Amino acid sequence: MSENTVIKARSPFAEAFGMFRRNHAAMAGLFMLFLIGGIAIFGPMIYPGNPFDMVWVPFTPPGQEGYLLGTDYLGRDLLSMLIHGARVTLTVGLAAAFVTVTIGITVGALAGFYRGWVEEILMRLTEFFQVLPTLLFSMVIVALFGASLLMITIAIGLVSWPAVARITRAEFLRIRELEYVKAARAGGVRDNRLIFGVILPNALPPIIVQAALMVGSAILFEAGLSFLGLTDPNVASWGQIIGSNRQYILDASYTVTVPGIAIFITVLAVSLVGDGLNDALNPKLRER
Amino acid sequence: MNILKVLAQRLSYALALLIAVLVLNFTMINLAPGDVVDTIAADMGGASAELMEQIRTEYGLDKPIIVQLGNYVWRVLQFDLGHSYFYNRPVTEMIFERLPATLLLVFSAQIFALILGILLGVFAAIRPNGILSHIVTLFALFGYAAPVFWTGILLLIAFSLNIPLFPVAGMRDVTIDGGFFPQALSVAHHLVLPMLSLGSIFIALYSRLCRASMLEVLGSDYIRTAKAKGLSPRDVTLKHGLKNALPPVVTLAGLQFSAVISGAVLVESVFSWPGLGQLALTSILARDTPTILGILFFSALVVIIGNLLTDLALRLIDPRIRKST
Amino acid sequence: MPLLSVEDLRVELATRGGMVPVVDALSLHVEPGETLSIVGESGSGKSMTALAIMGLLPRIGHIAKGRILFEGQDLTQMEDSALRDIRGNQIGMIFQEPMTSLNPVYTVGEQIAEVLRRHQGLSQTDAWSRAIELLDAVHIPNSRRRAATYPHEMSGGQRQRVMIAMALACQPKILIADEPTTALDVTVQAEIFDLMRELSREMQTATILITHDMGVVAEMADRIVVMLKGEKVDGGRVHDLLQNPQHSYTKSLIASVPHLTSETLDTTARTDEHDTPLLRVRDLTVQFPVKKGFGKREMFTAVNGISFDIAKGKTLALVGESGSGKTTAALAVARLVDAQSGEITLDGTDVLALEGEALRRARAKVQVIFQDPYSSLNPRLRAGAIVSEPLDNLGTYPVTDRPARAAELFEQVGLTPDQMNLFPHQFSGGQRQRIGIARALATNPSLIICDEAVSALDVIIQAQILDLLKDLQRDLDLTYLFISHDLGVVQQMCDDVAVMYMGDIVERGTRNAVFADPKQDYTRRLLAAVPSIERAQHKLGLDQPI
Repeated sequence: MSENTVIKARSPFAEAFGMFRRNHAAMAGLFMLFLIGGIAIFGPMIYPGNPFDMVWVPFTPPGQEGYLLGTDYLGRDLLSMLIHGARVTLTVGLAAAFVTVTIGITVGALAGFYRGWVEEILMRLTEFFQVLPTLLFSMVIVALFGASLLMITIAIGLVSWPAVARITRAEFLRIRELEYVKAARAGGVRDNRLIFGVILPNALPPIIVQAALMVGSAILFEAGLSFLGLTDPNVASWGQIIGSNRQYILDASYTVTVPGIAIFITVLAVSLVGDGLNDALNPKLRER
Repeated sequence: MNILKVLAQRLSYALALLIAVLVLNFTMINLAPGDVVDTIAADMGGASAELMEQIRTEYGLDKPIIVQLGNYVWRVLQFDLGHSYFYNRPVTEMIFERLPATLLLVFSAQIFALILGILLGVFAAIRPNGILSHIVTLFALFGYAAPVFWTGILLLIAFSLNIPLFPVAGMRDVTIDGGFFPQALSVAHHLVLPMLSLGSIFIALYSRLCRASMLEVLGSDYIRTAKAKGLSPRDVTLKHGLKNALPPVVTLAGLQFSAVISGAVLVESVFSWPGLGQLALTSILARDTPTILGILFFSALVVIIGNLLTDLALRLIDPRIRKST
Repeated sequence: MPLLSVEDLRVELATRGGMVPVVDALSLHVEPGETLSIVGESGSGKSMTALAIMGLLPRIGHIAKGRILFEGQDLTQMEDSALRDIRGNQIGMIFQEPMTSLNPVYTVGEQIAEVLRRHQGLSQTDAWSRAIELLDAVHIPNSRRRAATYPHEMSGGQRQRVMIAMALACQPKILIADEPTTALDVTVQAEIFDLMRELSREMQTATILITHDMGVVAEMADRIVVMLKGEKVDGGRVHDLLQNPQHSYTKSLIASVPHLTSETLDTTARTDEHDTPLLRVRDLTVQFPVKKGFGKREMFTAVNGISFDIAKGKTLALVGESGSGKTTAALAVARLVDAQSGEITLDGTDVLALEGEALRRARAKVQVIFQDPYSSLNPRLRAGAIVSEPLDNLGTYPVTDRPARAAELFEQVGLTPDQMNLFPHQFSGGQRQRIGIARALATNPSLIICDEAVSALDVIIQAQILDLLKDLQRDLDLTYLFISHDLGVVQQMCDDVAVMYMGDIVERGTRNAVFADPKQDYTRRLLAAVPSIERAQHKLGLDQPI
């Protein structure tokens, strides 16, 4: 390296992005996500039709009579249901992860920054929510307050946030003791900017990774609820397709395996992206 | 001694958590549209306003809300979770009938996943670039991404329907009579597939964390010290490495109890395993509120007990925790 | 035949940029019973050399060339199992970090006994009683009871004693000590060195002592090898080298060792003794709540009613070992830690009475330079933004003048304004510390607190930063509260000294008074513990000072 070369400024996020781009598995995951997202957005336009229409004889195997994935127990086009289900699954997954992360960051940041009784109360609350079995609790919420997609999203968010809150708090506890935070305080930075401008950006890497995982777990969660039949009966989600067809696995196992594969691939893609983010954002790994 | 004091503290904290669960239960009943009496009335196919008023008084629903809460907590602490109008039986009785099946499934899946997860994690960490390490990474990804009920159905199709090695549903063969041993064997035979499908997610989680934890520990200063003493690779890895790598895995396992119970609800549904999850589902579909809330209460109790066990296990492994409290 | 000889050793590390040599063309030898010291700063390859001898190179490292002969056998060619029989038996090693080098989940007795079972085939009970004898030998009181305790229940010094007991358990022919006292307080360091000398004489063990401190070398070693960037640049017997260093690097290493008692200190007339001091601290007490079990809290007193003054344009050093409360006291002055009681007056302002917005505004008058060049700068901000952060929040500078002010600050601390665009991780440790200094200067503070500001730097960089601080003080008439554990640094920097011990100031006075004629026992012990070339010279019977 010559001495005269002008060193270019590279932000930590730019370096992380560079790392991410070199990670083949993560890029493959990202590509799959774009593909699934594309299907969810544009699929219904390219492959129109109401997924609830009974189009042909029940249990038509995949590929026959022009039905690429066959028909289900009511003779509905499975491909059409999958394409429309992608919208539901992705929307609920993203929205629930958003609710989770918002609650989690708020609780974790307040607890980690202010310490004292604020922390005591918020962490007891977090522990309380961790004691409730997540799926059972959300089943109860959905049962008592109605099985709309909005309620399902809220229920998933309400039971999943403790993990995010714990990670956020741990990061805040660690970072608030670092010297640059003390320096910022000595430099007259106000509390709210200290939380959101100084500590939070540095605490983000593990939270981002957790948020990515949360999208995956919210998708699994929604699938579980709709598999049990606790969902809006007027929308076709992937879990619901499996749930409604499961009695007929002897006659037509593809009605269960195929939507399962869709869920599996989506969550897999999200996890790959999450892992890639983890490798790229974790400075400890970067040094190795 | 010290440990008794700690135990007393933990138990009183657990009790406080349980009462909090009850308060939450109570709040949800009151927030939900319609009350118990509406449900009863609906079940009876409609009732006169007078009769409904009479039932309200009978259940104390005319009293101030805080008195109702007090009554509710007091009843539950006496193990009275109310009466199921749907099944027309005491809720506690039904739960105690179902609880053993769920406990068996939850704890066997948890232990199975821990043992296998740790084994895989350790072997993967010894050769971080070896073939097993890659398999563990891949399996961890797959195990996490597959919906547990789908895994269950696939196992069911493969090993009960196509190759009939295991039974399709239930917990024991009712045609078998005889002593404890054949009965237990039958239960174990029925348990295999549900345990495998429930365990698979958690094997994925634990093996992945164990691998990462082992890798970190194997790079630490005291491992270098152990090598500098001239110890064999086996002693370095197992004696000095594993015991230090375990606490994060055990902690995670403790945090996963509520997730294991959630997974059990789905697995029970797939394999018709006669546990709490099955009961929960039917009572939710029947809007049988006392039963649902009773199940929520008991499953919270299981999670709390699981957490207590985790705490004790951590104390056994790590002397730093033992001394700090 | 030497006990150990390293011939033409080359160690390489595999990095993303390919194979990088970290040790090259290194030859050295160790005679039975002698102490050889390998000296160099971080990255010089001295630790890699030690690990190569032990066969403990990290996964990414390997020996590319050369031989390591121990009693005539080449260790580099040996089977792993044969090498394990030598490790911990014939060659023992102790490491820099006593806090992390012992296994936290086993008792110290078990960790010592394990070596004896492994190499001497002792039974469980024999090994345990021998372990207790070894704890006695390293002067751990109550050895029988202490053997059953865990590392976290011991202090750093005691843990290092356990490490020594473990390394010497089988009476090895060589003990390799890699910066064994760098993580310890100076008085503990002196005790550990006494112990090492005593035991190696008793057991006739040769020692390879790896260190960055020429003072330590002068007191401990028979012969020296000086390493720089992986290569040997100088070497020889201690007194030859100290008197007649060949390489310029060796000279600068020797020059960096403090001369605590020798030179006549300047006696600048002190004019402002009776003026009102800039900073006046009276009866300052700081306590922290310590969690004791469930819900119970106890107060731990970190600073116990201390008082001191600093005159404008002067430097007061708060000196003490870890846990003495010096940093807590300084952070209380900066209102970064809450004080329980006392008075702090800065420039006529009652500092402890400030609250809310008034406190925030007043922060402009006290700024801090922190210890760790890696955690004191926000990694997400550009260097320019870091320096202008106080300007944006506190300064009286109009928005349009701030970039120019930041650029001016960069030049003042010896950086160039075009570096303002870069992120912290793109700077070296010394440069980062300069950014931290620029940030502290931004608001033209009345008082600057230097909290161990040079402790994390290599000696030569350390000298440069100290020079910068002195120049800035002269040019800008700055007042420093200088926190340090390093008496050599303190002696170069300060006008007055206050020595802290367990929350109290035990001795206070001018630099001359404290260094030349300490009144308190603790101060004397502290001064005596600092490794010094003069004392070593004296011991070696050399008259002429260097």
